[in-house]
Amino acid sequence: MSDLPEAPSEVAAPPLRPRAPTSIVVEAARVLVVGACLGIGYGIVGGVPLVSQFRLAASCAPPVESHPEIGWIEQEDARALVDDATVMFVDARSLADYETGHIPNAIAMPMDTGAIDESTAALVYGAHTVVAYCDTSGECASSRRLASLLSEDGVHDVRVLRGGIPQWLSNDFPAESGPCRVCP
Amino acid sequence: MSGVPVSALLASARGRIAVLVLRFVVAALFLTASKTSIEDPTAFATAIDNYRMMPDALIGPMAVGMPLLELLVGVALLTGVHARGAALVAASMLVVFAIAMVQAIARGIDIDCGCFGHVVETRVSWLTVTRNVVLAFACGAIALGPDLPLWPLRRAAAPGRASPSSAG
Repeated sequence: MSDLPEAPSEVAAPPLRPRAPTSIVVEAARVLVVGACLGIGYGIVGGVPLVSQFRLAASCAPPVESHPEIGWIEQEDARALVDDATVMFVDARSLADYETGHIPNAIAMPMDTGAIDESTAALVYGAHTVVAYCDTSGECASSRRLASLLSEDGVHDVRVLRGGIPQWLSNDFPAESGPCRVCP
Repeated sequence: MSGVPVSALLASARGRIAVLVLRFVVAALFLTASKTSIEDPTAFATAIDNYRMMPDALIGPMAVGMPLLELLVGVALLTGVHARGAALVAASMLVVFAIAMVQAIARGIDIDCGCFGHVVETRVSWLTVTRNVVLAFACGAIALGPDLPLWPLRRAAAPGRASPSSAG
């Protein structure tokens, strides 16, 4: 035992492997290729979700998940409310889009910044029902956002117009152009 | 201005520990995200669709493929096999996710980020964008860091183990 060399007091860390500049990219490519193969295999075996199916399911859900009190309103039902003084239509699109064409007497409340202008919002607080609409981009994301903000501000009956202004115009329902006359 | 290169910092003893910790943290996040998305690909497809960035034809395949890629990245980071390449892939994915979130914010789209399915429901915000950017930097550190041995298998086997060439 005495002729054995003395054991080192601390085991040195193994030396780092030299790195080739392209090794990371090659590794990443391998990960991507294996991932793609797994995805294709899983897709073949388990199937791929169909856009039309889950969109149909989503259309039956409340417009704002976190605000179940907010409901959809269908085009025909909204058309019947245009002349009702207790119902207020609010347009979530940009001001330019609003001025191009909007539902008669609708108020412009653009959601460009994701927030509402309080002075404009004050106009709708007295309404019995508020109908928010937009151009349906992002699954009516703008009108849903506007509806949730109005609901949080205390408006009791807030609806989101299903199909938005594109469906409204294709139905030949009344529309007008020009700036918002009552907006501050 | 003189300074210590990042790669040298990451190769130090503390740097190696930091890289290992980052690897496990990112791996845990990716594995969690992949698990929820693999369990419910339809919900994940809806989350992708909500961003309104992708053509309809790509949403389904992405909903199936992306969670598996996340799973693979998570496993690679956890085991150390191709960890730096996986970190590069992870960083790229996180940057793409961050871009998707920024465009959603810019368009006023108020949606759940879909990051962890129904486990943690988080609305898309600048906070989620910042989180992704920070995680992308963490992945960058892993990619630039040392090629650490397969942990813990190689570390345990390293001292005194016969090399394959001397075994026969």
